Amino acid sequence: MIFEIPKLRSGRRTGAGVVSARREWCRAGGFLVLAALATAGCRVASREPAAGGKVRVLATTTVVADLVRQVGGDRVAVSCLMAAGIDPHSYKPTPRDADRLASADLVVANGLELEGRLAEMLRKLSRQRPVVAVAEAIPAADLLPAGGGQHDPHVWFDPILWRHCGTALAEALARVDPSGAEEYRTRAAAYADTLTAVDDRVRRRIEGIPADGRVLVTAHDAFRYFGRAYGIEVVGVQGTSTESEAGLADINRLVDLVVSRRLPAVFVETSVSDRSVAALREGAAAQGHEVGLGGTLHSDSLGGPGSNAETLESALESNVATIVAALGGDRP
Amino acid sequence: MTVAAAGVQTVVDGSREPLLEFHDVTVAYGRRPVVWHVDLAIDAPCLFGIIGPNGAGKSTLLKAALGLVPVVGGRVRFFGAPLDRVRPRVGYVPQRETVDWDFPVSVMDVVLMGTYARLGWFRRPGSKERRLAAESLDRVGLADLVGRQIGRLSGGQQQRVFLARALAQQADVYLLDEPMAGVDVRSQEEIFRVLGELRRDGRLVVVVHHDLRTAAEWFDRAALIDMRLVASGPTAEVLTPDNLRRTYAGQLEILDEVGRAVAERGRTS
Amino acid sequence: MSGVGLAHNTLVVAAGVAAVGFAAGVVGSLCVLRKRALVGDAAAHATLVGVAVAFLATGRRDLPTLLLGGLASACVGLGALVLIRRWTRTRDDAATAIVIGVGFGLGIALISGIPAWGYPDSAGLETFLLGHTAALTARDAVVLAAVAAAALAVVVAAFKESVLVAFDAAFAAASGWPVTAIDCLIVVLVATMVVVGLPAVGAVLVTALVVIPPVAARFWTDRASTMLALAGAIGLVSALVGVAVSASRPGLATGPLVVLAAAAWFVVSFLAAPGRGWIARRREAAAAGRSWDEGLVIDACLRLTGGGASAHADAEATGAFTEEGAIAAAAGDRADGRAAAARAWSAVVVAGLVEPAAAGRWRLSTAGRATAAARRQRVEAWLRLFAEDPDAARGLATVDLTGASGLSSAIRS
Repeated sequence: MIFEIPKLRSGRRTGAGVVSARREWCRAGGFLVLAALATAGCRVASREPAAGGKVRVLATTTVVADLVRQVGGDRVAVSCLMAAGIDPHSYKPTPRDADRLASADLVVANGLELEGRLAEMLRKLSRQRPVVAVAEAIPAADLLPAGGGQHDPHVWFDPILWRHCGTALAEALARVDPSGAEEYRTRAAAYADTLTAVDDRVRRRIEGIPADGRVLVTAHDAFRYFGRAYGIEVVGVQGTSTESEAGLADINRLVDLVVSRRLPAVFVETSVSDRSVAALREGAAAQGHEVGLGGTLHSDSLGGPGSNAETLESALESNVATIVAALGGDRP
Repeated sequence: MTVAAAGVQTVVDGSREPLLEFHDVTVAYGRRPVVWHVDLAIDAPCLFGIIGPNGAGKSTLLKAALGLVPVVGGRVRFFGAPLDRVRPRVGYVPQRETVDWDFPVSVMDVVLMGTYARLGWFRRPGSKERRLAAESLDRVGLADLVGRQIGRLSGGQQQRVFLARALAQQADVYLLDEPMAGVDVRSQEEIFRVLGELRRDGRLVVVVHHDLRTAAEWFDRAALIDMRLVASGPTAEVLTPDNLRRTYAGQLEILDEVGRAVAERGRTS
Repeated sequence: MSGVGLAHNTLVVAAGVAAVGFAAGVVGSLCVLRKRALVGDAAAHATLVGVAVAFLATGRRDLPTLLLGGLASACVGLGALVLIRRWTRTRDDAATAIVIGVGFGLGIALISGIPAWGYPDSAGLETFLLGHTAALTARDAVVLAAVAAAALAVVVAAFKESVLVAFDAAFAAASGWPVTAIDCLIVVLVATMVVVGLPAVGAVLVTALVVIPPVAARFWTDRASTMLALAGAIGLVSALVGVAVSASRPGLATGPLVVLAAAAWFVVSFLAAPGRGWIARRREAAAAGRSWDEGLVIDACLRLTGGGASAHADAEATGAFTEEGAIAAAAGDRADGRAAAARAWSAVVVAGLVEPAAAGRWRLSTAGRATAAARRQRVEAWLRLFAEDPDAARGLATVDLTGASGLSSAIRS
């Protein structure tokens, strides 16, 4: 849209000239006022719905939201910034998100730069409202490095580590809602037990996969903690963040790996593009090794409604089932 | 010469339709008229000059004839027909500065462009077209500059390349827009010589021209234009002191001199 | 084996990107010749909207679908460009900036918004910004190569028409050619190449593929057909170099490397092309300056010894002069005259055109007098040619009054 700025002339001696100059100024002024009103009206403040006495918690990712539900129980009303299937590495916040963040009683994030684009906003927010990054509660010695002095943020796939996050969340909730502190801590402890049981089950199932077949090739490096916990070698086409583009050399290297180890399957993820995996499979096929598509794994996000993977527990179980089926763990 | 022989047979004799007719032509840029109700008919092959002061609309008149600017009133006919039906019979030499002379084409490439219309879509120029182009270049005296890139030519040579391109069109009517602008006297005479050959071969050559002195010498017939048609007919009758005064108001010295030259020519021819 | 080896993926990517590079160079040449290089830029920035809309409308993420969407929106953007120019009398560059800003802004908003709005399967749209060559499958490469080949076929078929319209649109129109339609054809071809270049180098960089190779090629040739072929070759080689380098080390994105390779070609062409390159021009200008300076020194020597007026006087000029005097006489009033004259004097001495005389002075040697005589003859011949046929004299490609070339052949023509 191209608006013509009216030419503003100084009024001349003649009556007509002076009037026209004033008219021009009025027109310009009126236009400016209109524009200001229009843009002011556009901002619709959005707040969290009134929660009827519950603590309003805003979680960033679906994984974190699940943790809040487990630890917070009925005392909290949880909403989630990113829907299922969204990639948290590249998610860009909108002004509406800023409003939602500012109106929550507690903001819970994963931290460790998982929500890369949100970091700045969360840092500023933490000066005014309670913000907790649950993954940062894990002892540094237990974290995996991710290049550039950063840590790998995909900690939730190691249930033992995730217990720390539950504990930290319970403390944060207790600070915001002291009357519920006891309940939060109890629920966190119970959830920790659940996680221990999950860890046990997963370990047994993974052990069913033949040792030389325990290689997990996925779209990006989201499963390193999983791999470390259960003795699986994990390789991602892109790096730890989906923001980096997979280079040709990376794909070639992976093709060689897949062919030389005769891997039966590679995996795609729900929140990451499957193009590089498709190219990988094609490259392997050209060298005579058909590598199948083992299935879709939940990596940075849980499943949506009806996917049977809406909690971390069920998503983990689903992932493990997919992996085991594809890599041959169920065969004797 | 093959080119000339073909010409004598195909040109229409003046008794039926005019070779070129402007019928009540008005051209405007937006709301501003540039050419106003011009009625002009040319019946027979000749060397015809369109003369007038700067900004008089001479070039515009030519462009209107070629459909390059829209006509708001009246019509232009070639051999009694609209241009679209007889385009192969009309050749055009535009003004020199309309072209970027740094363009990567050679002299031969440019002259070959005159043969494109007859070739039609997708066909490449063959040996027949190249021969025609070479002959045209020979007629204008540029036979040995065939491969040169056009930016490395002098002004007169560039003008002659354009003329050769028009010759390669093998037309019956030629329209030239200021062909003598920025060209030295000798080249102008060269060009005029070629135009004279065309006229002798039975073609109509219409030239927009700015120089009154040479106009009096070169053209058989002329039209004096100053947005309107001031006069048209044999040159001596058109370029009278009276007409010139009406058109070139304020340049009396030149007018007297030209008027005298015209009168001189009228007496001696 | 890692490295540049002939891995399947490397071959596939190389084939696809090379096809795109070649065709983009050729098609872009037409655009550059027509002085509409900005059109490629406008088209490139307008493609993203179409990619996003194609995904939203069909839910599919395969390359042909998204590229068709990109082509449609590129054409819409170009149509808007034409209309803005025509209806609002906005100039070319401003109108292009408007289309780029609006189109790109809308495109980015959609591309980054779609994942946030929760569309499943939408990951990967943002790779159209910077390209995703590494993820090209064989099918993708075939699509790219086929479109590139089709565009090339059109250019070859309509070559003479395109060059005619680019060179002299008025003459073309007067000859009855549909100039607007041919212009549209060139523009649509460019839009197609831009769209096809999206997976190779991305929307942000694809203009470079369309503009840099033709501009680099122009330095090497004065023929349009050669320029197109050369531009294609430069595009092709740049593509191959970019792919090869990115395949050799991990973490190198292919798209920007291809563009950098093309840019390197441009720098080399700009500097080193014979004739039109910067180095060649500087050298030629310096040589011309030196030849004038040396001529002035010889003239000064002649004058100081009584010659210069005629060939006879020159022959009699056997006197002596000082180096200082010769340099001063040759320098004249020019600002840097002294330095130039001194340099020329040294060259004249080295060439043996002057020899030492008695008492620290100098005189013209036999060779020097012969050179002066030859120079006089050349000048007179050139002046005669100018008097007879000034047009031919002005049209001489090079005129060398002191050297051995140029004028003798000029006298013949």
